[in-house]
Amino acid sequence: MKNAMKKERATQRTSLAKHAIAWSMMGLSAAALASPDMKPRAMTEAERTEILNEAVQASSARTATAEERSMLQLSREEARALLAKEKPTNKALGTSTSVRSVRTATSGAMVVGNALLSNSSVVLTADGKHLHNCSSHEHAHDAATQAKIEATARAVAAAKGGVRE
Amino acid sequence: VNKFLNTGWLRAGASAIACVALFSAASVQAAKLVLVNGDAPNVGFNDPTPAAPVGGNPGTTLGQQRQIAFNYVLGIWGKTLSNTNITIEVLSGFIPRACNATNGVLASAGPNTIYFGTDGTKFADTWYPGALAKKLAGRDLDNELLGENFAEIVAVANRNIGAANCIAGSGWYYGVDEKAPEDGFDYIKTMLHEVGHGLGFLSLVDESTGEYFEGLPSVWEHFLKDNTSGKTWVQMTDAERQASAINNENLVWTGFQSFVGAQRTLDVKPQLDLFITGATQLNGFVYSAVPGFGLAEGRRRGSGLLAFLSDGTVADDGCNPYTAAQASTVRGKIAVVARGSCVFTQKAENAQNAGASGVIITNNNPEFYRFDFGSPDERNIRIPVALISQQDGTKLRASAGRFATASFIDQPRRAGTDLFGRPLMFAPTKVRPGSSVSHWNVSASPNLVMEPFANGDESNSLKPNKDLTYSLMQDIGW
Repeated sequence: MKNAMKKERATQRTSLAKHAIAWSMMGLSAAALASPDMKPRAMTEAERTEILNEAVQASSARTATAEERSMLQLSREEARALLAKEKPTNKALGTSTSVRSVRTATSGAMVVGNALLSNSSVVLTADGKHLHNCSSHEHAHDAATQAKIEATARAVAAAKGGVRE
Repeated sequence: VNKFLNTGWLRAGASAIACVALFSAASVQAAKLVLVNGDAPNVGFNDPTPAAPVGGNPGTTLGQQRQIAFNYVLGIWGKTLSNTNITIEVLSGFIPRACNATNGVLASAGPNTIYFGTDGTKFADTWYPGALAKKLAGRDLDNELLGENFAEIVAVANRNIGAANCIAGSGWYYGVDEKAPEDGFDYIKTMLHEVGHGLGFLSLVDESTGEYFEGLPSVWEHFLKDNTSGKTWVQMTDAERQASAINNENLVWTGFQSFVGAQRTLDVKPQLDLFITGATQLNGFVYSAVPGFGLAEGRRRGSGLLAFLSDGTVADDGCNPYTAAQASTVRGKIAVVARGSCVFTQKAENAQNAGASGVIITNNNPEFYRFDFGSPDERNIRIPVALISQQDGTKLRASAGRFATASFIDQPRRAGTDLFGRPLMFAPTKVRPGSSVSHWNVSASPNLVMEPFANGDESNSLKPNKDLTYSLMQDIGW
């Protein structure tokens, strides 16, 4: 037991030393390590309760406009198609909210709407358990794609849960 | 001397007071994320259907529960982003999305606006998500540049989840107690993840082509580094980025806060790395992934010449007892065999019985390759065994006939990090658009909020020592 503890400590020391070398090579100072933001901490139960109480009391800042509601319905592909259709050059060219854009040589702003959406997709595995991932596929998958997704889901389940092969 | 000393002390005192003042100010700061309700009357957030309070969520209609749950998500994010007082609008609603009996879209989110060249940004000619640009500039940029106000984030949940044609029998769980039932999708965990993307946890590069979005990198790409080429993504060509996006186990996040967070959050686990020399296409470290097998004392080190039992395509993949000729080939060497047909321990046992000093198994699948190998004690395996990707396997096999060697190196480290402790990114060998590159690697342990796959046991806290999301957010400027 003692030996195991000694060994663990030695491992940690080696690991720390290696990291210290690696990061000092990258020019990071001890001052940065001492910054208070280096030590963020997980939420406490009191903070969770406070957040819940605020959530119960909260109301929407505002109701979306008709244009925003309409934009919200678009899939990523539809939003991208809209963006491509009304492609901005160097001035405000977009005719709808979802593609408004301003651009000069040194600065720019774009309303991209749903064009950069990342999706959480769900896939049921053979045993009925679900996994979700962020994928841009918004349309129903064909059989081949579906099979691939399920194979991936099984592989990930294997990676996390551990199966033998 | 005294004068200098006194001045020094005064300065130190003033600094200390300033620091206290700063810390005090920081402690009361929090971003304010607010819901912009994008649902029509009587649906989604406005659904009047009565509902019993669930898991600490006291709402008595579906609409109320949804609003409370979403505001809870926004509250967690607000408290997490504790060094700013800006208000961030999140346009959200429950919208029908593609779905069928076994798969579909749960939820989607992303930045609604993006900026470059605005005040406070560290990198020039670089896209910043709208919420982050606003935080860095310290003021509302929408009115200034776009002429009116826009929500900074869009986030939608699939309204049809649980319906007859959309994973029937399942449904959203709106409780805040992290106790979603087996057949329920935890709305809070899902939306915590999604809002993270909206705040900037994403690459804007097209992973399939390596092209920048609208001709510019985003802040994300400045922190991505490929350990094989040694280049960051902003130093690469499109083709190099395209290749790097599938360089599994070799794409890392270089941000310092994430490095520190990883040391505080991720578990130390045994890890076996390979070091290859003399190969034609594959030299140096190959970050193999063998959690738990061949790692017991006395089984985890060794080196030797490589001996190729098969070409990776023929049926003989080490599952049968070796013939005399095969045994002669691998004796005292490291046998390279293909994955498939039998359990890993059997391949190891056959190689060991033939006198091999180690085994490298090359994957037969281009996607993930992290597996639990089972216990080496079952067959009394005493030699080290590693599995490498199909891609690396192909490269290694190109060395057949050469004087190539492999060394097994026992290298315990934080699960989900590289040799230097930097967090690995998700870069499966087959690109997954919208998923590759914009998440942590699935090898992280404990499971993280921003991994690509929900595992159900992620924390609802976003900071170390529970999670690394906030650490990365700090790196990009939050």
